[in-house]
Amino acid sequence: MSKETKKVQNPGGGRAQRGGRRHSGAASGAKKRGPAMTAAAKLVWADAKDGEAAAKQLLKSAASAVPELAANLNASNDEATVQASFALEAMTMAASTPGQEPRRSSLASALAKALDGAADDVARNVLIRALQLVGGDKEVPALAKCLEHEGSFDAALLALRQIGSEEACLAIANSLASAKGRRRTVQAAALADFGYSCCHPDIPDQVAGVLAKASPADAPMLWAALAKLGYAGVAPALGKALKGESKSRAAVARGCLSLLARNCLTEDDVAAAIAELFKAERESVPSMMALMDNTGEEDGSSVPYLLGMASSEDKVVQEAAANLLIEDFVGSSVTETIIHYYQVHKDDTGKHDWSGLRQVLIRVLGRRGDVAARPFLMSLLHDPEAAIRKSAMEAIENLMGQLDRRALVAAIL
Amino acid sequence: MSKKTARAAKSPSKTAPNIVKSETLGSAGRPGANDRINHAVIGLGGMGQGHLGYVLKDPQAKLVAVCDVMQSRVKASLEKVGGDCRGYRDFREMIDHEDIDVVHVVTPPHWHALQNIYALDAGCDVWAEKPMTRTIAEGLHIAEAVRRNGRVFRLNTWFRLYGAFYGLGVDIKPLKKLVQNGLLGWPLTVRISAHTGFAWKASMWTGKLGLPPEKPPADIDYDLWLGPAPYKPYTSHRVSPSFRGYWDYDGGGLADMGQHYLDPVQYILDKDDTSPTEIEATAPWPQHPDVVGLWGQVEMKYADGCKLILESCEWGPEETKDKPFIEGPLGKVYRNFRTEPERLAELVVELPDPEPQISDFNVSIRTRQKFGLNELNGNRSNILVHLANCAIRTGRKLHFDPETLRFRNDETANRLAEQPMRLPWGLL
Repeated sequence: MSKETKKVQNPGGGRAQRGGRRHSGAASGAKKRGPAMTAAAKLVWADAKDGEAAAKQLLKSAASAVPELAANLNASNDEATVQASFALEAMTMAASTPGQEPRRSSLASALAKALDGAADDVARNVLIRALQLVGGDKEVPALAKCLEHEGSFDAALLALRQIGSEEACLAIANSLASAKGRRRTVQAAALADFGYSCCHPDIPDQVAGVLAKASPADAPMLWAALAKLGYAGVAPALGKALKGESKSRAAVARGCLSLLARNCLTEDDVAAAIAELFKAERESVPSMMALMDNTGEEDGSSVPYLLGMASSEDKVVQEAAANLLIEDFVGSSVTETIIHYYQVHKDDTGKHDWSGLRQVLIRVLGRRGDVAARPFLMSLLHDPEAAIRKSAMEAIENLMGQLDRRALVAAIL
Repeated sequence: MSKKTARAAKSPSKTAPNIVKSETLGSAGRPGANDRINHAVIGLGGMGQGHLGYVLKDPQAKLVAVCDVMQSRVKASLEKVGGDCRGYRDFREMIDHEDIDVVHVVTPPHWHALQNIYALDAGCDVWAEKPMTRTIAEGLHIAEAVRRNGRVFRLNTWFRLYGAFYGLGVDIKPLKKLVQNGLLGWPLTVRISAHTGFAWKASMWTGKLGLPPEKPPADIDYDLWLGPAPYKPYTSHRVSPSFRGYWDYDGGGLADMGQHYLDPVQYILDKDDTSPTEIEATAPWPQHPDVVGLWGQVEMKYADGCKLILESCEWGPEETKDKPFIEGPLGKVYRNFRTEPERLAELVVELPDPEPQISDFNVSIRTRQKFGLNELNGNRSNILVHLANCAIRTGRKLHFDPETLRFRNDETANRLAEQPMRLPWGLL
């Protein structure tokens, strides 16, 4: 693309490109301008063609280019830092192009080696962020070392989590023993990212041990970690939080119990998680969903339970149950169960808003797509209650398509 | 994919919503037809003020709380709204102390998924700002939280539902009618550029290079502003309202306007349950790792040959000039509904209307039916924004799997699309 076609040459002010204000940071003495920085100066908002050519050149000499670029990074975010950042980004993206594994590997290696010589935390974190995108198992030890420094701890932990390998998981687990305070808690929580299959079997217990000593403020992050790991031992704590005074902590606990019910490996553990939800909120959507997610849908054995939930006075629960009956259950036996429920309860006038519930059931029958419901729905066209007749008409239309209303009227008459 | 995840990832139903009359609802703590709905707004910047306006203008709504990490904004908003509305710095404290039906999430996008999910797990419905999330992977977490809690979710763009579609000069209903009745043929190409009526604000939302670090003012809780984002030294340009120019929080003009422009297109093309498979960008390259820059063109192709061409008209060539907004083998539609052949414009009145959609969030709240633009179709249009930005940043053609929502054979692109959050923040 020619430069003449550009509408805006310096997005966002592009002060560095215009040679704007320079900073004299303490680290500037360590700077050096060699071939890499000469190339970097041309990469600020470069045309792609120029950028690609420069990236290729830089990658050919990654072992020398990366230290040179790294030496020009510092917290003052001066012009050299900006240029070096562009160059490192070009190398990172070019080296990660599919099919360029040797280049990725040599770049990652050079980035890891440069970590020790970084001028300050900001500079080190720029390098770590590049490793977050292209790093692999070989870079894990260098990143794990960065966990020991407060200023690079968060960035290194993000990078290790993003690498996501067993090697990265074990590096975090191994350094957990010597970690203290916030870093210990956060590292424990990070272990959940790697999934149960990758984990050392002791990891869930390690995280639970950290939770036992954690402050109340840190507990939600560790609940989430243990829920991700499928650690059923956390269920009672979650149940307690769900019944506690803090609605925001209850929200986390509710989400964690749902997640736990999904992630537990044994039926007993799943049951324990669901039981905590039910103890706190028997008639709620999260309880219902957790139960439904862990029961068979094919045989329709859950349909009576869902019909009970559809009778809830809580309209959120009622509609969620109705939607499950519509979307998750097929077959005429389910239709028969719903019709039977309707008929058994049709004289249950003592119940709250029975007309409303009947309309919900009619709507469910209309939207399940089972034409076996049609005769029953047709019979409701003679119901003494106008709202029921109207619901039945709409349900039949949903079921059969846009029927000729005159035919329906004829049927009624 | 687990049963649960599979459910969350389900496409929105293609059947018309069965709208329950709101007068039949409203008990057991849920708002009934005559109850006012309690709203709370998190994020009180420019868009936050817009959301305060939405609530204050709605006779069915009551604003009970506002929240922002900048205390001056909380104070100013409380003075503006008056009454017994209360202010908070931390959204968790707001959830603890208030009885809220609907939470408006109007913070920068790096907070969207977290706060949406917090509100959903707290039993609230959500009115969320766009872009729906900051990364591709976050969208499914929101969809799952909506599902597991039985809540309703509204994304704050509306052009698939009503309103003149920006500079196109027409709402999208006639376009939808032409497309769904096959009058333009298939596959279709859609051009979204200043020439077809859509300004991408690319230069408006670029960041600034080389800003020296500053001390955060006392007014802002900077650590809470950063939240799940990686720590970076404070500069005043990094935070509101210019946060869109930094990758850690948003994605420039493309992310600002993308869902406004692209969501209706997905709807017109009937792509609410899929995504493009090939994405290629023309832009300055490399991009800066922190600061969002300009871009020129992004082309996205679907598996069936349909194509989207996004052009910023602020960098690079302009290939969409004098081209139609939408074009198929049988017809074209230009701005102001000029068509080729001309008779298409006349024919459209005879065509059947598209399926109805719920366009009033109060109806969704009271009937518990999905809003027209919800967590599922909203996530699909949100994905387009992030696909485009991933292509701009990597500088290469990307191949995307619309089922797994991952790039094919491109680990680094996937690392951009699914990033961990800075602990203690994380998604359930």
